[in-house]
Amino acid sequence: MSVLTVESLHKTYTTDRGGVHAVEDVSFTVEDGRFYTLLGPSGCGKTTTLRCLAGLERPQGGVIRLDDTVLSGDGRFVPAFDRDIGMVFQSYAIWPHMTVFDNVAFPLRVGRERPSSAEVKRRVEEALALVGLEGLEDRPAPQLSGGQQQRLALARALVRSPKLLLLDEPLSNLDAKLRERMRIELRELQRRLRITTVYVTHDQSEALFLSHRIAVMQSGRIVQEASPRDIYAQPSSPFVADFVGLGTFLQGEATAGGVRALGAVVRCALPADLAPGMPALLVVRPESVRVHGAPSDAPNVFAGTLRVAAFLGDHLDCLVQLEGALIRARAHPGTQLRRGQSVWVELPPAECVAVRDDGWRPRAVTDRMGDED
Amino acid sequence: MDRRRLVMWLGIVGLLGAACGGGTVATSPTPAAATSAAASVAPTTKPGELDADTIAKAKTEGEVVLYTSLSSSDSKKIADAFAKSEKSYGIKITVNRKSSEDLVTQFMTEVKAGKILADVLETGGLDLAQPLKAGYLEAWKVPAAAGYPAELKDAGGLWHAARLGVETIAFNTTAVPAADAPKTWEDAADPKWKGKCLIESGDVEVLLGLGERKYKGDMAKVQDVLTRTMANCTPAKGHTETVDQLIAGQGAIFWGAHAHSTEQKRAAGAPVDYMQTEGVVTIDGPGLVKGAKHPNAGKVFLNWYLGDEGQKALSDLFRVPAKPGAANARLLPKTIYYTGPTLADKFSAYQDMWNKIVLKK
Amino acid sequence: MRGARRALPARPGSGIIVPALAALLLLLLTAVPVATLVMGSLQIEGRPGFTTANYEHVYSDPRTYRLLLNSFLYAVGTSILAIGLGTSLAFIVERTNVPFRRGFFAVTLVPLIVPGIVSTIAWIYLASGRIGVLNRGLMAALGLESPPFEVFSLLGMVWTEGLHLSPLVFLVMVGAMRAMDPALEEAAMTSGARPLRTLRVVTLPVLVPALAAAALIMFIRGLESFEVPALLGLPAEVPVITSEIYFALRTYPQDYGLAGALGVGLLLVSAVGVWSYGRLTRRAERFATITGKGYRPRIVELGRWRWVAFVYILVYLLVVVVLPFLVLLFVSLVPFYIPSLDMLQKLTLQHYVTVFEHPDTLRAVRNSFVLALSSATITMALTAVIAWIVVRTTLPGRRVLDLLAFLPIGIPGLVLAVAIIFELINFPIPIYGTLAILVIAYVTRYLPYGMRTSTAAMVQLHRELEEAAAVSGASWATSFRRIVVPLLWPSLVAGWIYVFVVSVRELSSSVLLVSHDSTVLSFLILDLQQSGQSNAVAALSVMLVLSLVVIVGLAQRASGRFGVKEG
Repeated sequence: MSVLTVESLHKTYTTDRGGVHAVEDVSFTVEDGRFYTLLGPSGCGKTTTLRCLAGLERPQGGVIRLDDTVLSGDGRFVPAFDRDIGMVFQSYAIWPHMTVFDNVAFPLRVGRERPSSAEVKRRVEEALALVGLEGLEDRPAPQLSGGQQQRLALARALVRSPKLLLLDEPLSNLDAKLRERMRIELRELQRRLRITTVYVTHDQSEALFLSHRIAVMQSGRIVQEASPRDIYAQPSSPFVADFVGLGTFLQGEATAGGVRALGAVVRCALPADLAPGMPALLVVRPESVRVHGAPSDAPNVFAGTLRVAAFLGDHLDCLVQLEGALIRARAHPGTQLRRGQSVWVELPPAECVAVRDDGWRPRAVTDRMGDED
Repeated sequence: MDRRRLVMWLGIVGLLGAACGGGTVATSPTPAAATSAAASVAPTTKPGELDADTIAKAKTEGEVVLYTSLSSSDSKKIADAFAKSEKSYGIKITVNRKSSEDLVTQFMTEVKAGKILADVLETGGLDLAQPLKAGYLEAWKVPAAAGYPAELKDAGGLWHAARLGVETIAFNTTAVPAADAPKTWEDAADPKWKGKCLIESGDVEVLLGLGERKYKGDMAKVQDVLTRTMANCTPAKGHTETVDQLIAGQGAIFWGAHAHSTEQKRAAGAPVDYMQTEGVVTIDGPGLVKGAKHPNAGKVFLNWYLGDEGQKALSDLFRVPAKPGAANARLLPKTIYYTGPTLADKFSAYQDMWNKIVLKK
Repeated sequence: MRGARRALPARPGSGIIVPALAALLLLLLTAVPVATLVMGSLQIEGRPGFTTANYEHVYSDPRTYRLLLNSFLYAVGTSILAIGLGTSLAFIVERTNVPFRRGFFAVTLVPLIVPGIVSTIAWIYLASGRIGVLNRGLMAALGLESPPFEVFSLLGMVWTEGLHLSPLVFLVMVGAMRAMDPALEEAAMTSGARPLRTLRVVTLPVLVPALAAAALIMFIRGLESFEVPALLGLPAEVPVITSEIYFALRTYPQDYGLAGALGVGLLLVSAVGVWSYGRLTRRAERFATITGKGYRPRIVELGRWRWVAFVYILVYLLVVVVLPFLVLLFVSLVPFYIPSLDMLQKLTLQHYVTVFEHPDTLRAVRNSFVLALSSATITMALTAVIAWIVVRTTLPGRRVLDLLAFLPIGIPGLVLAVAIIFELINFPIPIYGTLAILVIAYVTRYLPYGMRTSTAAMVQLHRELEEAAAVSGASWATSFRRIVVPLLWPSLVAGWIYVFVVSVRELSSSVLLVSHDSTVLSFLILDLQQSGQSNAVAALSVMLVLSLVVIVGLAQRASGRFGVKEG
C-alpha cells in the first residue's frame, strides 16, 4: 500500500541569467499500485518534478508524501538515498566499472537492510529474471546492448522492491521495434508487480498505452490530469488536445448545442468552461471522421473534395478540403475513393470535442500535408 | 654570427589557425676573404699592441662572436665596454653566454657537426681542456698578456687567463667567531665542524688544486684530508644556493665557496666571511677558435680583453682579473694553488675519489 | 563498447593526409633523439665500434638498483600525494557547494608558475630541520625538543614535489569530472547509497581512467624531476637516477654512454608505470563516458561539512600557496635571507631593480610566453591526431606510434638537445639559435604527456559521434575539427595548460639551445641563480605569480561571462 501525494510543488532554477521557473504549483496523487505519467514537451518541468520525487532536486515549496512519510516539505527533506524508491534514468546510468550482477546487487548492498550474500544472489537473479536477463550476471555492464542496458537499469530499480518506481523517459534511447516490445513488457511488469510508478515521457502513445492516469504538463504546470481515455476524448485545452493525438482544429464560436464553424453549427457537447458566445476550437480526431461517397442525412455532414487518399494498410489516410478548412480523416481501407472526387464528411456529434480557444495554435501538420499534393 | 641571428619562427598554429612567420633581420655583410694563417706580429708594433695588418683585416671582418661563461649581465657589460673602446675599431661584438659546461658542450657539438660559429671561446680552464685536446683552438700569443705569469697562460699561446676564480672556505660570522674561523683547508677536517659543514657537490676542481699544488700529488694525503673533511660535511647543490643556506644558518662553514660571490653578500651586510690565508684559484680564459670566421676580429677582442681596458672592466664587475695588480687585493688569498688546463689529465683520478668519498658512490 | 576497431569511412584525401603527416612528424621528432641515446649508450667516447660496456658497468653496480629504487619510491610517493590532494581539491571546488568555490580556481594554480628551483628553496627555508621557520615556530610554540619536519629526507622530497605537482592533477581531474554523466551518481543515490559511499563506489571508479592517466603523468614527472632531488636529495643522501645522469653529463669528458645506459633504465622504470596504467585501465578505458550530451555538473550539498571543506581548501592554500609565497616575498625584499624578524628593518626593492635592469628580462618573458604557447598548441594538436590513429584505426604499426610518442620520457633533456643540434645545425632553413629549435625540443619532450591526455580522452569518446559526422558527409578533417576536438576540449585544454606550464619551466634542453636572442625565462633564472642573485630570482618569481593570478582571474571572468559554467 503506497500512495504518493504531491502538494503545491514549487522549484525554481537559478541560472546566470536570472531565475527560471521549472515547476510551479504542481499537485497530484498517485494511488497505490497505479502507473502515473507526467506527459509534456521538453522543458515543461516533468523531469524536474520526477527528480524532486527522487530527492535529486530540493524543491523550494510544497509537500511530497509517500504514504504517511513526508519526503519533502514542512521543513523536512529526505535525501535520495533514504527514500524507498527505484529509478531508471534516460541514459540508464549503468555503472561501467561493474558487472551486470554488481550493478543490480548495488541497491541491496548499500541500502539500510543488508541481506546476506545468498539472499542478495537470490534477489538479483529474481530481478534479472523479471527483465529477462538471466545468465548475463558476469558480463561487464558496458558490453550489453542498448536494450539489455535498459532492462538492467530496470532490474536495478526493482531489486529492492521499492515503494515507488520512477522512470525518466526510459524508452527514448531505443529503436522503434525494441521500444514497442519494452513498452509491452514494462506494462505487464508493472501490472503484475502492482508497484506505484511515476513515469516521465514526451511520447503520448507511450503515455496512453502504459498509464492508469496521465498528467499533461505545460510550462511547469499540470494543465490536465485524467485517465488516458479522458485525456484523449476530453482534452481540457487545445494544447492537450494537440499533444495527445492527431486532429484537425476548427476555429469557431460556441453556441447553444455546438460550435459555429464551417459555415454552419457543428453539433457537439460543450465543456463546462465554454459558454455560448465564447471563441472555441473544435477538435476533430481523424478516426472519428467518416467519409462518404454520397450525401447523408446524418447530423454534421459537410461536402468537400478529396485532396489526398493514401493507403496505409490498416486504413486510408485522407485529407478532405471543406469550405475554409482541410480535414484529416481515417477511412476503412476497403473504401473506394479517388483523389479529386466529391465526398461528404460526417463528424459524429458524440466524437466532436469543443475546447475553449485560449489563443494557442497547433503545429500546422495538416497544412503541410496539403501542400505536398 | 650572420645566419644565426634572429630568425624568429613562431608557430602559433592552433591559436591563430595558421603559422605566422616572424621577421628575419637583415644579416651583416659576409666577411671578405679571411686569412687562414695567423698573422705574425710585425716588428714595427709597440709592445702590447696589435700590428696594423691584423687591425686592417679585422675591420674588414667587422664582427666578432664571443662564447663566454660570464653571466649574462656581466657579459653584456663587457660587450658594451668593448664597443665603447677605441681599441674595438668599430668591430661589432655578439655574445653567446652559458655556464661553462653547457657552453663547451654546445661549442663541441657545433664543431663536430661542422659549424664553427664562435670566434673566441672563453670558459673555465678545465672546461677548455676538451676543445684543446680536440685541437679546436688556435695558437696565438696575445701581445697584451706578455707580462702575465707562466701559470696564467699557455706557453704556445693556445689559451690565456682573463679572470680568476677564487675558491675558499666561507663561514657564517654569527655562528663562527673570527678566532675559530678556518685558516687552512685542513681546518675543515677538525671534528668541531661535525654536522656543521656544507660542501658543494661538484667542486672536484678544488680537490684537484689542493692535491696537485698543495700536497704535490700525494693521493694518500688527499684521500685522508677529504675523508676527514667529509666526516663533518653534507653535500649541497649549487654555489649560490649553498652560500644562501650558509648565511641562513643551515651550516657554519662552506667548503668550496666562491670568494667573489661571498664578497658580494658580505658587502651587502650578510653575516658571512671567508678564509683569506689560502685558496684554490681557478682560471677562466679565452682561446682563439681554429677555423673561425673572424680570426682577426677575435685577436682584436683578445688583445683588448687581456689589456688594461678589458681587465679594468672585469674588476669593475667585482671579478678577479688575471692581469697582475689589477685585482681587488681582498679577494686574492695569500697562498694560491692554481688549477688550469694543464691539470686536466689528472682530473679523472680526483673525480673518482670525489665520487667515492663525497657522493658515496 | 560494441563493434570491433575499424577505420572510419572517411573521404579519401583529407582522411589520409593529416594523420600521415602527423605520424611522419612524430617519427622525425622522436626517432633521431632516441637513436642518438641508444647509439650513445652502446659506444665509449673515443673508442671505435659498439660495446655493451656501459650497460655492464651500470647494471652490475648494486648502487644503480638503489638509485632506481629511490627514483621509483620518490615518483610513487610524489604521485600519490599529488593525486590525493589534486583530486580532493578538484572534487570540492568543482562538485560541491563549498563557499567561494569560484575564487579558488585562480589561486590554486599559483604553484604552477613558480620555478621548481624557487619552490624547493622556499621549502628549505620553511621546513629545514635546522633553519626552517615552521620548525622554529612550532618548537617555540609547543616546546618541542626536536624539529617536527625535515625537508632533507625522502619524505621531504615527496612532500615538496607532490605539493608542487598537485595543481596539475587538479586541472586534469576538473576536466574529467566535467565530462562525467551525473546520472551515474544519481542512480547510486536513488539506490540508497549515501554521498560518501557514492563517491567511493561510483564516482572514483568511474574516474579511474582519468585518475590513472594523471597518476602516470605524475609518476613520470616525478621520475624525471631534477630540482628537488638535486637540492634536497643530495644532502639527504637519497640519490636518484636523474641526479646520476646529471653528474654523468657534468664530468669531463661528458659520459654520454653512461647517461644513455642510465636513460634506458629510466625508460624501463617508466615502462613499469605504463604497464600498471594499462592493467588498471584495461577494462576502464572502454568506459564511453562521453556520450555527446552536455552535462550540468551535479553540485553536492555538503550541509555542515561545507565549512569543513572550506577549511580543508584554506589549509591547502596556506601550505601550498601562501607559505611558500610569503617566503618568496620575504626573500625578494631582504638583501639576504636570515630567518629572523630583524630582517624586516632592512627591506629593500633592490632585487626588483636588478630584475628590471637585467638586459634580458623582457625578451626572456616574451620568448617564454611565445614558446610555451606554440609548444602547447603544437603538442596537443599533434597528439590528438596521433591518439586518434592509435585508438580509432586498425592501421598496422599504430602501436609503434604510441610507443614512439612515449620514448622521449627516457631521454635526458641535455641528450635531446645534443641530438637536436646534430640534426638541425645544418638544416637548410637556418633555425639553429632561433625559437623554432626550442619549439622542436619542447614538443619532443612533452609528447608523452600530451599523448597520455589525448589517448585517455579519446577512448572515452563514443565512436558513434564521429560516425554520425562521417555519415553526415563530413570529411575526416571536418569531423575531427567539428566533433572530436570540441568534445575532447576540456581534456585537451588541461593537457595544453600542462604543456604550457612545463614549457615555461623547461631548462635542461634549453640550456644548450638558447642563443642570445632566443633566451628564455628558465634560462634567465638559472643565469641569475648562478651569478649569486638568488634574491632577484625570488623577486622575479613574485612578479610571475602575481601576473599569473591576474591572467587566470581575467580568463575566468571572461569564461564566466560566456556562461561556460553554471554557478
